[in-house]
Amino acid sequence: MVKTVFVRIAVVCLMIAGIAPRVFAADTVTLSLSGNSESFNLVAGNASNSGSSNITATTTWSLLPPCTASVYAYFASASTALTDGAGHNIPSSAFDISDNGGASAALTNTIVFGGANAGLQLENLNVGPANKNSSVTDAMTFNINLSGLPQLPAGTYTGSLFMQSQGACNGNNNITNSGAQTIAVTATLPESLTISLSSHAVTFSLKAGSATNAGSTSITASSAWVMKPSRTAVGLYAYFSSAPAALTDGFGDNIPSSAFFISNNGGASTALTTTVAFGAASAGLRLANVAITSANENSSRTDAMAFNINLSGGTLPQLPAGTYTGTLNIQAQATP
Amino acid sequence: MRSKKAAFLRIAVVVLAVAASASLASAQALNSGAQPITLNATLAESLTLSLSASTVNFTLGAGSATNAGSTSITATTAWVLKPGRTAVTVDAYFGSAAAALTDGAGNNIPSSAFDIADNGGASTALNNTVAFGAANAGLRLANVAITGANKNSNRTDAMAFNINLSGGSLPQLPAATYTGTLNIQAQATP
Repeated sequence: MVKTVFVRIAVVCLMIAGIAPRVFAADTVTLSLSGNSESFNLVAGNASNSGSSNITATTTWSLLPPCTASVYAYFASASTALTDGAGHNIPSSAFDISDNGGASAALTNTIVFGGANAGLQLENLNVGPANKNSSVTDAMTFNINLSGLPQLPAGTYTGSLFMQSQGACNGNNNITNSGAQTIAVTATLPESLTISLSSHAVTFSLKAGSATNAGSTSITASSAWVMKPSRTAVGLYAYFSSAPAALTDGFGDNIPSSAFFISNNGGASTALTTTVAFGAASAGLRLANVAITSANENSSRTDAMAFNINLSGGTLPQLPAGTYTGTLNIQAQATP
Repeated sequence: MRSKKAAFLRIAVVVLAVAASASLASAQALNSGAQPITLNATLAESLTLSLSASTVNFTLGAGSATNAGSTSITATTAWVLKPGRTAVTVDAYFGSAAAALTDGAGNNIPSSAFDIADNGGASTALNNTVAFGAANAGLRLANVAITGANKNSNRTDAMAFNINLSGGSLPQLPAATYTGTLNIQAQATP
């Protein structure tokens, strides 16, 4: 009888001993990052805007198989993954991660964490007896693709990219999540306004007293801009630094800016007699004034300028023979 | 209490200053770089002379002082000058004073027997030494002073011609055809 009781007790103890690990040994999943911030210098409309550094996520687990171990990257919102705080956003679909040298993939999936369509699963590993206590690393490179956001205004866009791992065991009955690790993302799209010219020199063969002395070539000014939302206009100007002496022979004989004409994009030939944002008073011409809206915050334009010097007015018919030189400047300004 | 009020005022001033500077910064215009275009305009110096005709015939009367040319000729002179020029001259001249016209057989009409009346003026023989041609074989038709008002200008000289066969041995000039070349030329100086 005592022997029977002892055997029964022994069996129960063995059963308890066998079950205990399943009940009391806690599954653990942790995730750590090699860095917690990522910055981007954006180029408007560019598909390739790489992050400043790579970040490695290391996920370590201790799980009771059979399990799966997954690693996720996600934003809290698909539409406002990064934002300038003024209603302009970079969605998660424009944020790409290349994991361990693989193809770049946008965060467009709905995963177990984060916003709908705002995530990407980096790992989905089977965990068995051989790797029940193991780890995985995910070396991530980042890219922001602005090719679908060509009108994103200049600004600083910030957001939080979250990294989180999950162990799922026992047919998903036992779920163990790591803590969410945050990568602070800062993407800067600088404001810019540039002009380039197709050429930087024009010559004129003048005819005394003639109203028509065309330049040797037309010049095209290509203006491009990336504006902050607050800008309302881009002006393009041609100007001289002196109205009475736009061109001079260096001996006191001058061609005034009022005798210098520009026909812009085939329009009427117009003298440089206006006071504009740059240059001397009454020595300029506004070639263009582009109203900036949300549709052209990042845009460009071309101005094909044809030149003429009119020597028929005032005392210019008596302009002496000589070589007259001057510098015409082309410059743009965004306001306010 | 007073100290707290002063501190509050200081903070308020700083906050206002920061707000003002931020406002100014946000309102700052953005300029592109200035792109220069070098302009080089050349007004070439020029001095041209054209004639309304290039041929004159004379039917000579032996010993006659008056042998008018078949036509008058107008010389049109135009110029575009550099600032340093002070004068434009128009000269008529022959290559030889002694043989302005010749029959090719040693019989000549000298330039001193060849007269030009310029723009209705007095008929004057070509017996001066001018900028071009032979010595004593020319006539200055015009000498235009150049000022700021006529650096680019023009003039016309309507020339009427005459051959005077009354002087010296010319009354004995044998019958023949005498040919020669009268040149009209302008010069800007200095």
